[in-house]
Amino acid sequence: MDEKVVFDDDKLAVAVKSEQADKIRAAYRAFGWRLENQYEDVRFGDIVHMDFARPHKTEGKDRLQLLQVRFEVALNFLGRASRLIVARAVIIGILLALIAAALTVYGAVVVAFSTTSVFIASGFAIISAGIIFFVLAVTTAGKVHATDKQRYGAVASVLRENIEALLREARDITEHNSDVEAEDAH
Amino acid sequence: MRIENRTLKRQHLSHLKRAQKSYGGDIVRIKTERKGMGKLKGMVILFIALLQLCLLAYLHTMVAVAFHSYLIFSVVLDIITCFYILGTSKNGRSKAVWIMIVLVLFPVGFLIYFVSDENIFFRASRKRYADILASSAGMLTGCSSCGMRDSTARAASYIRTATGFVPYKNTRAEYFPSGASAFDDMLEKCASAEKFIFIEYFIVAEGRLFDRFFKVLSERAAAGVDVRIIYDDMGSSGRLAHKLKKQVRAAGIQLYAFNKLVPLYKIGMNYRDHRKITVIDGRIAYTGGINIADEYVNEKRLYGYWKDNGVRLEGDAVQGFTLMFLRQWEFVTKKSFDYSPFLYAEGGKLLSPVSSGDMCGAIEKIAENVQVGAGKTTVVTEAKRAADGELAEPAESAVPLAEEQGGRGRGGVFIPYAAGLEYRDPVVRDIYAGVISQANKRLWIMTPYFVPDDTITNLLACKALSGVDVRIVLPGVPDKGFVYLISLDNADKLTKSGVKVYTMSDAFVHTKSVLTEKCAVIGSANFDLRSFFQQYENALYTDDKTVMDGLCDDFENTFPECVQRMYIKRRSGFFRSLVTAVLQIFAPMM
Repeated sequence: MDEKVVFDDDKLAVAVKSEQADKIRAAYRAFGWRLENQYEDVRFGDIVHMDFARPHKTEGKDRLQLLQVRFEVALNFLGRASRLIVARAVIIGILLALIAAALTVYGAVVVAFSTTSVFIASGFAIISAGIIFFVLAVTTAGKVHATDKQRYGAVASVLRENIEALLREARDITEHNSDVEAEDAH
Repeated sequence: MRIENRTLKRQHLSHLKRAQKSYGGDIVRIKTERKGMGKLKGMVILFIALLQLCLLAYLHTMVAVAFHSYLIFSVVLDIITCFYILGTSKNGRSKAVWIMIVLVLFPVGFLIYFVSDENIFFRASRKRYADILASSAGMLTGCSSCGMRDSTARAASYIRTATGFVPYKNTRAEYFPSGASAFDDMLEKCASAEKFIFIEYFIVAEGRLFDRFFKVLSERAAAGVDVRIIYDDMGSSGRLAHKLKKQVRAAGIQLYAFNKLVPLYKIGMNYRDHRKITVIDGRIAYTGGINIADEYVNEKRLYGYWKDNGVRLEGDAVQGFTLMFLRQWEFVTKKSFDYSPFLYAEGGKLLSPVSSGDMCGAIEKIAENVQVGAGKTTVVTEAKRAADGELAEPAESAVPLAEEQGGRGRGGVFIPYAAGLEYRDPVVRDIYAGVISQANKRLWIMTPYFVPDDTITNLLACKALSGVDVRIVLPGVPDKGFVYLISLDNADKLTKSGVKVYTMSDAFVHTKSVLTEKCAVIGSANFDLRSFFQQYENALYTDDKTVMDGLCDDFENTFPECVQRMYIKRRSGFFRSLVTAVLQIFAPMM
């Protein structure tokens, strides 16, 4: 075997959210991948499968791979961030609402079965506490949501900038590679 | 009508499924990840082995229950065992853990220790290794009078005394900062092999990389090249299908597993072949952190980007790697044979000249002389006679020498070495300790796991306190959560002494290398107790400028991709501290 080893193209198979498919296709192009096949998922309506290929010997491949991993990590964090924004608020809201409901029900039971005015008054006090907890649940959940929105919003904006920078660097590498290939062809 | 209804129903169901939304917030998912079965096999075997240990302990306890005086007797045995442990050559942490186990499990502690004692249950393998080492001693000549700097001479002296491996000059090297670049180069060199290809890796896993190897190796085997592969059975567990192994063997490639996994409680199961070696024609050798699996070339995504490295040697130093492989081959095949057709003397002359044409004949001749079994070898090797000065004059120059290659790496000294249970000393630990102690300006370390013993930890702290630039690069994404927890804990403790600890973002660092202003060490050995004391490792110690510059560039390109630990808000808390403390106890076993 005197001739050099002939390497087959590298392959990449990804499953992506359909609403982001166009953006992701363009992004992978920046990493030097060309789309070979695309099809919808048989089970989930919002998933699209894409098969990519890239020449095995690509200049700056190690760097492109690192950039690609960082792109995927950032993109997935953005996807999860929208859930994280509401997650904490919902959990705190539900917990406080449950306490409020318990207090209200307990207060109502005390009022219903009490014979003395003192107990009736305390029953109303417990109901009032329950109502206060309801208000607290709504305001706290709202506040937490606003804080998380701000926090994740800041992170997301940084990540979006990072993604842009990653794609720019990847594009520079692949465009440089195609320029070299074009020169070689001449 | 019924068929029509069923079709409609299926269409409706399909429509319903299509309308279903996917779970999870991930926008993109790489579909190359495949986990489970490989780990499952290992887990089942471990479980069965532990079950046997528990059964043994239970039966022993029954004896203690039946005869109350036996309980007192077992306590006495436990105390004697503790004294025995203190007198062994184990490292301090291992001794402490074993004494704790023996005392806590006092009715059966001594029993557990003795069924796990390598001096008893690994004796046969040790003896076989001793025979192999004895029969192949003195085969390497190296450069006896090469001008070495003091630090290299000291390392060479230690390695020669502890392992028998020798220093070389007349070698050209190339450094690869990634697995992808190393394997591409390796495949091209393998494709031009004419005599033999030796491959020894901890992990050989099916996938795209293995397909490329198989294509090249089967073609070479068909052309009469002697192709041999050793893989570790635990490392490759579940990742190399039986069908594929049959295909490989059918293609004329000799394939052997090191230390086959069996569902028995055997202490030998704990000792794995972690080496990473490729030798081509005795002219070219590769080593580094790489294994033959897709994640090492980033064609399979496991823990983010996979950072690894490798080094290629051409010239005299390759002989060290050839000998390492041949010894391991003799151990796994249990067949003794003459090594000399595969080894060259200094200056590129075969110890026993064999041309590519009559290589097959030579192999047949060797096969005739082979003595099957684990007994003592009776083959008087050509090399042994060469060492005794009886060998006939070598006939051909086979290795392209550095003089004709521009000689960029001519000035450097290369010391390939092996470490493992065949040697009395913890070679990996001792060489790292020597390298660290000699660093005066720069000491840069890249390792996936950082669980060193007290010797290394104290040395690193002392170096940092005395003003040496000590930096440790660890992964940003762990592959084993509990080991990562200990690694970070150990590294964070060193930051107080001035050690700079980095974690590479979104990447798993698998490189195992050390760089000082005087030398570089590249190989398979991690900075952990398993590599120091329990695994078969190999590495290259060199002061060659090409390798050192390559590794230096790699470090300098990696630092900007890392986050320094001192700028990270560290997670703390009672539970985390408790888990770390418990894990630290069992660190010697990880």
